[in-house]
Amino acid sequence: MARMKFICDAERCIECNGCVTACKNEHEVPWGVNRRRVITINDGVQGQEKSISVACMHCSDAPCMAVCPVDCFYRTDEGVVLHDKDICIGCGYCSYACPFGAPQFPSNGTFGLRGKMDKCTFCAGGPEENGSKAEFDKYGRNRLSEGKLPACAEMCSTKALLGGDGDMVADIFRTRVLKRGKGSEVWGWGTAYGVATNPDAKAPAVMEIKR
Amino acid sequence: MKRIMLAGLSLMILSACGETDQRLTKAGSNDKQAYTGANNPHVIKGWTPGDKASWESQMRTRSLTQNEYNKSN
Repeated sequence: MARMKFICDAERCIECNGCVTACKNEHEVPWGVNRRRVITINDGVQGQEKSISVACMHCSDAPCMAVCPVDCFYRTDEGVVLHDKDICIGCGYCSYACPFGAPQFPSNGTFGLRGKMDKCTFCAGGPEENGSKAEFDKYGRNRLSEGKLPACAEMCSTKALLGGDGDMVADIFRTRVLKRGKGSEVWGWGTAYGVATNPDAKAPAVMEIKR
Repeated sequence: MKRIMLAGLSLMILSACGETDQRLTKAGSNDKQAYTGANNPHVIKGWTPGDKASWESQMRTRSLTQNEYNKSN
């Protein structure tokens, strides 16, 4: 099986924030923490405004893992980047390293002390027992072990956000691009998973596509 | 005297090499794989928890539901 990946189709995202709501509801994420959020790019530029849903992309060569001083990150066999909150010291280095602004820090207590890091888990929980209350309390629901895909992607009304096996979601996206003949840019894909081995490779011209 | 001091100094320097790992555990070492299933009633039917091939098949089937061309065409 290939590794798990997210793709956000900017041509389809309607900024409904359904993914954000689904995530917050599924994992009971506290106030002030947004594991996923929808951002607007080219804001105000006529005809070029796009919205995309952003969260931890579970990078191939995750910078958060590289900078963590206590090695609290690990990667599952499916390529999901997770962290152990029992080891995290909440230093915030990962927040500076992440190109997607994924790491979040809850402010708890009287003085708003920064807590341990929290981020998207690709609905894969954490190191606690799969599906246990301890896991849910710390990391949220473990949907992968329930035979489901991330809630944000499954809840997306326009199917702009795709999540799952990298090869399969890439296939779905490729079919769409070929059918509509535009919008092949995948924001954050190169940053998270690396650029194509052949940078000169081009998609076939739209004229050649059988409809 | 000089030899004793030198031996003592060497011992002091080398003592750091014998330090044990002070981390609680290695991150993720006790995390069970997703295909083993969850310990709750929310596990959906259609696959067998513990069977990796079955879980992978379930993930593929589930991924395909995101392709609405399968539904419309």
